Amino acid sequence: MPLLECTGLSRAWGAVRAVDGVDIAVEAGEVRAVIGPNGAGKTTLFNLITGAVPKTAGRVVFRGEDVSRLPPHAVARRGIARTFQVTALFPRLTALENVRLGAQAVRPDAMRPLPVGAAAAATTEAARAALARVGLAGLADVAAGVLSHGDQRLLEVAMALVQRPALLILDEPTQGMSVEETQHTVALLGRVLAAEGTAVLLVEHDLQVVFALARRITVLHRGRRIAEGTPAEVRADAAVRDAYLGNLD
Amino acid sequence: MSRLPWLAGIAALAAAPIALAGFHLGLLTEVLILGLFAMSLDLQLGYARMVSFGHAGPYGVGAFAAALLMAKAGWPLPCALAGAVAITAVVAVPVGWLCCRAGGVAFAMLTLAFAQLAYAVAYKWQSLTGGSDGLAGVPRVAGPFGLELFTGRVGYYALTVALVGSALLAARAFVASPMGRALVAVRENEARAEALGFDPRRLRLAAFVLSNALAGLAGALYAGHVLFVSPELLLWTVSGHVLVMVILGGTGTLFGPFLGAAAFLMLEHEVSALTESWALILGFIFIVTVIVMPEGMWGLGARLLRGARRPPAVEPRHAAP
Repeated sequence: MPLLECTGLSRAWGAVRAVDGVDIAVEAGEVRAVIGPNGAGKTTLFNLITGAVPKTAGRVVFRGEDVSRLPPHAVARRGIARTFQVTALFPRLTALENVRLGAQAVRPDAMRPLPVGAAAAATTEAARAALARVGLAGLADVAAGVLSHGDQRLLEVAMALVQRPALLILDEPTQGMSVEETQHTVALLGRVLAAEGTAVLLVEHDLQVVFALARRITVLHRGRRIAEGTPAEVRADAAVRDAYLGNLD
Repeated sequence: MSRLPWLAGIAALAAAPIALAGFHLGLLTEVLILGLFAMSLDLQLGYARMVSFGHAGPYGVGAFAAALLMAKAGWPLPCALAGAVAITAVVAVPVGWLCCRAGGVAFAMLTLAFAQLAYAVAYKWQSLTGGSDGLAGVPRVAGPFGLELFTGRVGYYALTVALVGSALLAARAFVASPMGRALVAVRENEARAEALGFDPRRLRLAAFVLSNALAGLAGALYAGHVLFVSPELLLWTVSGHVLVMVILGGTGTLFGPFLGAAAFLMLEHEVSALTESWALILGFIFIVTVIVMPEGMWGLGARLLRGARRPPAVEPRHAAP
């Protein structure tokens, strides 16, 4: 049984079918990329999986449980962590507190109304470790909003990693990064993912990044899945070449 | 923060009954009660960005509940206060459940509507509430086991200090708890907080109920202080005044609202002795405050103290709850 199994996922806004009957399955430990031209429905697909956008139709089964109708916070607590295409942080809180909140959110006492000293210590420790893993240990006490764009993207990754998710959804992790930052991030993600064995669902525009990280690729075009397979298979696919106007290299 | 300001504050409050004449002790009692009222609003406004325009609602409900429990049911004073808090909290659950479904302006309008509803009920239900005349001569009922200690002027002041102090400590504990931190996360970025696994609606409801329960305690203490309740307590101007107190004192600080309440009461008292249009002058002062020190009196004080000792922190005031 796959870790995540989506069948017939659809979302329409009026006559616009942003996502149209997409099937996608992710195995435990697999790194899967979703690619497609602008407006293909990649981010909407992620929002359907995490419950951030209600589905017009379709089913999401995660670890054997139907999570189709659950709100985002319930999906997150079942082990799906995500980053956002447009950086989403708590800009006025420190980098450490941003990550610590991530660690807190998946604990059983995440919303206890009384202070818990042990929980605060445990989450702080986990947050420091996660910051160190993405190379931000030195910026722990800086407000997230004043970090550089690249560091903010990494901070989001740390907030997701600290939750030890079974599935990590990364929406364009290198978006807006310089070439050096992108290389650094790809190397870092490759290292961390290999060490953790976390399954990943990745949207990325930069095909170099996709080919470096993913073993299997799903191609979306105008809301539909037009191809799926290894990087080589996808490169050779005529429909994919069409959608990208031959511009796959 | 060092312990010195705390000890100084406790010492000052303990010395007050000796140093102050009766009238001023009563005024100090009122400042503490209104400070608690404003602090309870700060839990919603400062930590969850829930702008309530109907905070007079729980305040008035608490006041009427305490007054009726003493005047009609004959409950001893401390029991009546506890009962009033319980009633306010129970009422806050369904009201909050409805209000917290909405955000922003809709939340403000819904809270206003519920407070107006409570006002209308208090105004029309003459047999219970005394209608527009209100209930005068509410007794501070003494009870067995030495509960009569609290019925005198100094005793009531001591009870107020103890309860307001406990409420402040409870609010500080709440703000530092996992739930309080999660509430700040929702305030800062709701979509992000929800994607992490926090349930925004449940968090807002919790803040709403706690905030209302503490406002109910403030209302109950006020009823026991002036021994008179009327529908005026539920008027929308009361909701406006308490908002002014919180913003004057500094939102998201818990202590600031006490300063705001003291300043508000002092201005009202001093300026109304000079002119009938004291509200005009107060409004002017409010406008200047918001423009010149948007972080309020507490925020300004903290900034001045910090500036004297070390350079300003990178993170703004709201960063550390």
